[in-house]
Parts: sequence; C-alpha cells; structure tokens
Amino acid sequence: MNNMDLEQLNRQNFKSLSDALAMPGKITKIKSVFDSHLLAVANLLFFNEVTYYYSGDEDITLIEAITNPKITTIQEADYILSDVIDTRLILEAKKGDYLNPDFSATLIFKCEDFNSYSHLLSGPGIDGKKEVNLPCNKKFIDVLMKKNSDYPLGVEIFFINSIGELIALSRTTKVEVR
Amino acid sequence: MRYGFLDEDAKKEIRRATLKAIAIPGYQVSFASRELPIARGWGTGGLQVTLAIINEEDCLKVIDQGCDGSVNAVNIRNFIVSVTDNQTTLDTVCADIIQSRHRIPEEPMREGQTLVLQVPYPEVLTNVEADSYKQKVMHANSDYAKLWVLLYEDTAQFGDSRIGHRYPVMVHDRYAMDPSPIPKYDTKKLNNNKALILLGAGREKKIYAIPPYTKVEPLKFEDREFKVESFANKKCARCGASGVFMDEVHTNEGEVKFYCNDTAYCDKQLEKGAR
Ligand SMILES: [Zn+2]
Repeated sequence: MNNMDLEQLNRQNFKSLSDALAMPGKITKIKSVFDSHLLAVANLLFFNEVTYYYSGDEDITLIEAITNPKITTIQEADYILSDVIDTRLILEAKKGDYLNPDFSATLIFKCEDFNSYSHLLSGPGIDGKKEVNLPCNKKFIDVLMKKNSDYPLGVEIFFINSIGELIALSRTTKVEVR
Repeated sequence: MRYGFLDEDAKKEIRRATLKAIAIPGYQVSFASRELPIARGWGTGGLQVTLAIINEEDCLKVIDQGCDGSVNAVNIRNFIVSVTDNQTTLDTVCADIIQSRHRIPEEPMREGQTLVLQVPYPEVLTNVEADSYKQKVMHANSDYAKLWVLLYEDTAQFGDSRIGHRYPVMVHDRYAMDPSPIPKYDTKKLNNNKALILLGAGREKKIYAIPPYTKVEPLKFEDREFKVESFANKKCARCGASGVFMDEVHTNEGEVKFYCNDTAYCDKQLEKGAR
C-alpha cells in the first residue's frame, strides 16, 4: 500500500469521524488500514504534534513510525486507545481547563458490537432525543456523565466495533440509561 | 500536485482543531497554520478548512455574498478544483460542502452537509475588550457583561442594537460567538440547523463550529424583538420571489429594484416559473 492510498483513506475516515462526533449516536463506517480499524483511526489522528496512550495487543509500531506521535501517560494523552472498554481510562484522562477546554483527551474504545445496552441521547448534534444501542453499562455512563459534568471541560468517546462501525459520544451528549 | 494542496500533517492539524471545535460548540480552537500562497482577501481560513475536510466523493459549492459567479467565488472554486478534481455545483441541495463568505444559502441545508464560513474577525469580544488574554478569560468564565453593556447602551440610545452584520450569538447557552459577517436575516438559520457549520479564520488561526441541531440565539434583551432586515412587500425583479434576503439596486433611471441575493436560488425560482 503506498502513501497516497493512506492519505485517501484518511480523507474518507475523517468524514466518518467528523459525522459521528457532529451527530452523536449516528453510526458511520471506518475503512481499515493494515486490516485494522483501530490502526486506521490512529493513522488518521496521529502526527508529530499529538500524544497518545495505547492499551491493547495490536501492533501499532508501524503506524507510529509513519506518523510520529509521542507516547505518553494516560493522564497526558491527547488520544487514548484501548482494546477494551475501561472506565479507569476515562477517570484518568485529561479534561482540559476553562481557558483551554480543548486541551483534553479523546478516547477510542474497541468493542465487539453496539448491541449491549439501550440508551437515550440528547444534546447538540441530536434532533431532540435519540434511542441508541451502546456497548456500555450504567456504571460506564455514570463515570462518563460525571467526567463531563463540568462543561466545557470533558472528553469525547468513540466506539469502534468488529465490523468497523463507529459511534461517538461528545462531551455535550447527555446519556440516560434505559 | 497532491490532493487538496495541503500536506498531510497540515491537514491533520486542521482536522484535530475541527474535531475539538465540533465537541465544544462556539469555542474558538487555535491551530497552527502554514501560510498559503494565496492572497489574504480570499479568506484563507475557510479555504484551509475546506481543503482539510474534502474528499473525492464531495460535491462542492462556493459562494461569495450569495453569489456563485463573483470573481472571488470563481477563483476559490477553480483553485479547489485544480487541486482536487472534485465535482462542483451551484445547487445548494446537491452540494456536500458549501464554502461561503457572508451568507448562509437561502434553501435549507440537510444532515450530512457541511457549511464552511470564512471568518475575517473570529473574536466576538474585540469591540469591548482589546486584550486577547482577557478575552480568553471572559470566555472561560462565560462572562459577557461587557457585551451586554454595549447592547444596553445601543438600545438606550438608538432603540435597538446598531449591529447589522456579524450579530453576536450565544451557542449552546455557553459561548458568545461571532457568526462571521452574515446579515441578521441569516442569524436564525444558525439555530438548530441540520448541517454542520464550520467557521475558519486564517489570520487569527482559529476554527470554531456549530454542530447540527445546536441551540444558537442572538444576544438580546428578553423584552426586545430581534429585528432582521425586512423585505416585506418586496419582490425580486428577476424571479418574482418574496420573503428572501435581497439586494437593493438603484438603476440609472432613478428606479429602485430588488433582487434575490442568493443567485442560485434566484435561478432556481426562475426555472420553476418558466416550467
Ligand atoms: Zn430572484
């Protein structure tokens, strides 16, 4: 695969990420890089000005070599990637400060599918209320809602399932467990 | 020539800022930008955003003050096409990305579309606070007392705000925002719009956003009506449309005529009438 192809995939995958975040609860599709959807997202987001933390088993070394981000701690990372959904990562992620709420983390969780729990979403990007299936239980939602309770401070979350579907929760998204 | 002109790292920086801007509606995200070899008047902020987000499947529309055919709009459209080879359209409904200066199209936008607005002055507090750090502190505290004072003084002295274009808005009840020099007539279209709206300022290197279905309200006193430019009883001299934003044209014969400002809309109405 040559460099041009990777940039083309980045263009298409950016649209998926941007649509997912602009319309929380909307499912978009990620095209894989090196047979991995997670690595495709890493390739899209990583460059020499950002930091990341990864907890998982995928071989991220090639993407790292191509894109040149800095590896750091959970507390410092701009991007936190994980093979499993882990509330500890949310608890420890940076959420920005009032002057710079954008100095905050984005978390990317892999999951099998989205079918586990039904939730009701509202907030910017959502037309009224929207019922959505998410792979996270009440405890997860409680932790996330607490993390994002100090708006504009907070974190964004993306879930990627095994077939490359993407769904996002923005820091403005209110989630009610059904 | 590489697709989209900008190198990949420059795009990644703009995309990073864009995602944060979407996550924090109305908040100005700073980004590092390289100088484009393009004159300032072109609105490099909007152009950089468009070049960073566009992909092969996007159909592009470019308008300047409502017009697809103005020199500025044509130049920007030609430039983007020369570095992407993408399809373009004049039709608001068909476009995936609409880059615009000073107007929001007359026809409603839909989910999945992106409106990129060129911004000359991103800081809504400029007229009431000159110091950029103090501006940032005021945004941090959502402290817009000075804006309200200005509004109050205008109302007391002139009966209404003197602000015509660039009317300040509150986004998601949190950030005061400069919506770029759109007419007040367009302000209401920012509220609950179905499209994603991205605003880019090249000189100040700021990006901010309004996601779809986001509450956006003009900053005004509750007991005051928000008065927009009115074209009541006016009809477009070309297509006959009424109730849209119009340009007033004085003819050599001393006549005053009104025309739709949105030329693509005007063309469409004309076509409908002809059929
Ligand atoms: Zn007309």
